[in-house]
Amino acid sequence: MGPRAGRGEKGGTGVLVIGVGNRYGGDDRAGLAAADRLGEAAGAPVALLDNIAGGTDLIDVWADADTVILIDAARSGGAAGTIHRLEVRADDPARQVVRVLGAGRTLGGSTHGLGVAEAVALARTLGRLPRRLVIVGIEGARFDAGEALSPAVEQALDEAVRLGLEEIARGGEGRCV
Amino acid sequence: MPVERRTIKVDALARVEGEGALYVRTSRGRVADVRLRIYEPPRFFEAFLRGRAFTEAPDITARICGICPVAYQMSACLAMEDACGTSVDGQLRALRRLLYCGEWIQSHALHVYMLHAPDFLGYPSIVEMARDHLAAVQRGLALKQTGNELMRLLGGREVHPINVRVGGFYRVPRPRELAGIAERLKRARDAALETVRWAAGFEFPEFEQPYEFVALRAARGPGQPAEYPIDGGRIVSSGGLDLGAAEYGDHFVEEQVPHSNALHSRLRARGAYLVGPLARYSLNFDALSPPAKEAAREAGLGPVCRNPFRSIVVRSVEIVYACDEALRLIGQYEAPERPFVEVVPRAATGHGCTEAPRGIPYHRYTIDAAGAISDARIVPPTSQNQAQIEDDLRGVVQRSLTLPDDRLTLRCEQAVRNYDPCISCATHFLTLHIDRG
Repeated sequence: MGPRAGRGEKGGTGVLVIGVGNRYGGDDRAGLAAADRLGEAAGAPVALLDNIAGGTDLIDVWADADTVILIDAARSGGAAGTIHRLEVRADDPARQVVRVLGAGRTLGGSTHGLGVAEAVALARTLGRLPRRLVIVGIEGARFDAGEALSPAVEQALDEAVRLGLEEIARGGEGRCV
Repeated sequence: MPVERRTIKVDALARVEGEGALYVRTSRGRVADVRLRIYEPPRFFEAFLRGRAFTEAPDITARICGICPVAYQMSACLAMEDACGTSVDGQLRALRRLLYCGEWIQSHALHVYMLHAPDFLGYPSIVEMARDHLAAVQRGLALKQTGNELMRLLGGREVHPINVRVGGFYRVPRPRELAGIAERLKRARDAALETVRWAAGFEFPEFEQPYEFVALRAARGPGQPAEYPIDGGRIVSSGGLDLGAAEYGDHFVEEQVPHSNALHSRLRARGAYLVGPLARYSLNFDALSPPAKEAAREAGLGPVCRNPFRSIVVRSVEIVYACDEALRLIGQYEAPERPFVEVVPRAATGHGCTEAPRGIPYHRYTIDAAGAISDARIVPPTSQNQAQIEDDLRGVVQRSLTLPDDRLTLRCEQAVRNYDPCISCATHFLTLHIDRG
């Protein structure tokens, strides 16, 4: 991850695709798989945060990016394969992120208390959010150790990639304040 | 609060890596039972390793933990090299130690600032703490980033480094590639010294335990300077143990306990023991660098620390040491001729033990003549500390029974976090229950 993490262009005008999850965590692999495909389709740099426990690393990873599309598996209780879209805005982003991705869920799929939601909230306090952050959640069904995705999640990857491409095409819209 | 029957239930113990459950029951003002209940998945990785090539163990075991992958890689490498009758020394060993310093810096910075400090400063998490302690949080993030950067430089990337192999590395840096990180490490050392002063100012419960400390101690020849243990050494204890890694199984046993899927490690002779920063520090104070020793003294630490709540200060001292040691290693570095030594497999069993940020992981592998793994055993530090965490909690709860439920719960969580338990290494789910029946 990190190293090839595209840092956007100078001046923070670049797009960065971030995939979050655990390659060996069943459907927790969805974000990594979708981000990989999206980066290739969009010709955008990709950072894969595979089984990272310290969510604060996200703040460093997106440090120089202008627009970030972050894809992660979600556990909100919905049907497997459901796609959630969340654009981080000024009004209490943390709570929304928690709702979609699950409170306290870490990047590695455990309850470290420092996950995507906390990283977003912390970045806001520190003034280190990217200008535009779109979070795409792919609802997962099983998160046990293993390498296979659920069929519904596998099928949902295309939809997540399509949504990501749309978001990248929209470019400067939806400024996050 | 003189209530005879009371039940406290808390559904999540956050800010420990992984998930599990903690159950505390008190009765008539006495602690009746403390159980750290762990739901351990089948030893997935041990099974996963069987049949794989001996050269794959470092990369596969690195996947066990997102915070301390280097600890797993290094322990696996040492075990495989032991099995094959090879050892890695000189600059290759120095590079391993340097990579490991990166892991210590990032892991300790994460725990000290993001996970443990909120307990001492009275915040539910780093997110709330950052609003009032912006400068401290930024210092913590910068420290962690320096550790990440060092890992990236040597490991190829900061999480699950891909540049490590049995026998050494795939690629070694040229000395000038290390110049930039050296500058950052100097700044990090200043930040680490500031961290020690900051943590030393927290309020610590008066609580000491008669621990049997278990840590590595670097073997050293006559006239050689002492070396704080990171990448290997003899297993020593405050109870008089002095073992090679191969003797681990003679003295430590893993037991199944009814309330947990994870195995509890015990000293065959004496029961619970402690691994991690307090043990390392108390058994190796003499081997710290002068600035680290001085910082410890200024922070009011003696050469032995038995108060687990002060582990946050000891961790901070270890960040100072890791920065110092990394700078020393960079200062003496010359690129080795080859990035690795040849390791030829043979039918044998090998053992490896190093100092992960949270204590010693022990690895044992049996391989065949072609190098295929037939048996693997991995004992993570957190499973070794579990029995001791329960002992601590018994004492903490007993002393804190007058606290209201919410404060007692927080104190218990803080006591568990003293261990920086990497429960995901040993388990999957953690929840906290307190019954005052």
